[in-house]
Amino acid sequence: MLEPIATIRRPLPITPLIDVVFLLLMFFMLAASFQKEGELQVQSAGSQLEQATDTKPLFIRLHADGSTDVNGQTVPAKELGREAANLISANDKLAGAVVQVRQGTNTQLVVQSLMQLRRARVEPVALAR
Amino acid sequence: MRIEFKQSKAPQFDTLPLINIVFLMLVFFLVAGTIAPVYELDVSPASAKDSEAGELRRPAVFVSRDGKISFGQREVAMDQIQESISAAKLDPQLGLRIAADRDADAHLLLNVITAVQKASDVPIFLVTLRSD
Repeated sequence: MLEPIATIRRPLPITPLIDVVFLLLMFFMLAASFQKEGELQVQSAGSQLEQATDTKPLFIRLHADGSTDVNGQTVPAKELGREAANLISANDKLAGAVVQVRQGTNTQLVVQSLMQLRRARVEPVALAR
Repeated sequence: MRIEFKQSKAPQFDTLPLINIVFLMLVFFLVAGTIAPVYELDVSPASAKDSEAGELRRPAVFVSRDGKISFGQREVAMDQIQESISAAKLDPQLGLRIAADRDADAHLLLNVITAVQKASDVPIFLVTLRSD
């Protein structure tokens, strides 16, 4: 007669489990990114601004050394939006802005300036070189 | 007289609290992180505090800080961009996303934007990092 095999209860080995969990942890630590992406609509000069004939856009220049000017007046880069909004609200012949990017300017300054103009509700804004 | 030596036992290392912590960290990284996008060019976009939340679509055009441009996962020369984009037949509902490095030359970026506008009338979006 066959004897029933005694079932031995072994404790579950946890070392392989820990190995796998560590591997997963490593993977997610290295692959995770906490930065959130955003987006900003841009256009270069030539399309919308030419249609408006009764108003003129502000003329903003971005220089390679990080300085900016609005209609020829030097303005700190952080005040750009406010200054542009002030000029537009003072003169109803002005609307929108053309941002001229000078040689050697980096993308960060362009994005920063566009964000300021958007916050100050200066629209439409076109980029030019 | 017999002196009894204490048997030097290796202290039992309790692994359960360790696993608990590792599991907690694992769950944290799973929930809080998103898998970092892999770009074909080395690009870290400009930061902008309150730019609109982008949809998680892959950017189509990349502009790197050393002046390289890629479209459709391969590198293209500046004078071929217009051609490749008009050939690609972009969806005007989706628009075109451009990821430009924060230190990239803005003139180059502007040339790319102009070329895209000439090739197609889709809206163009610059990818930013929302550092909030």
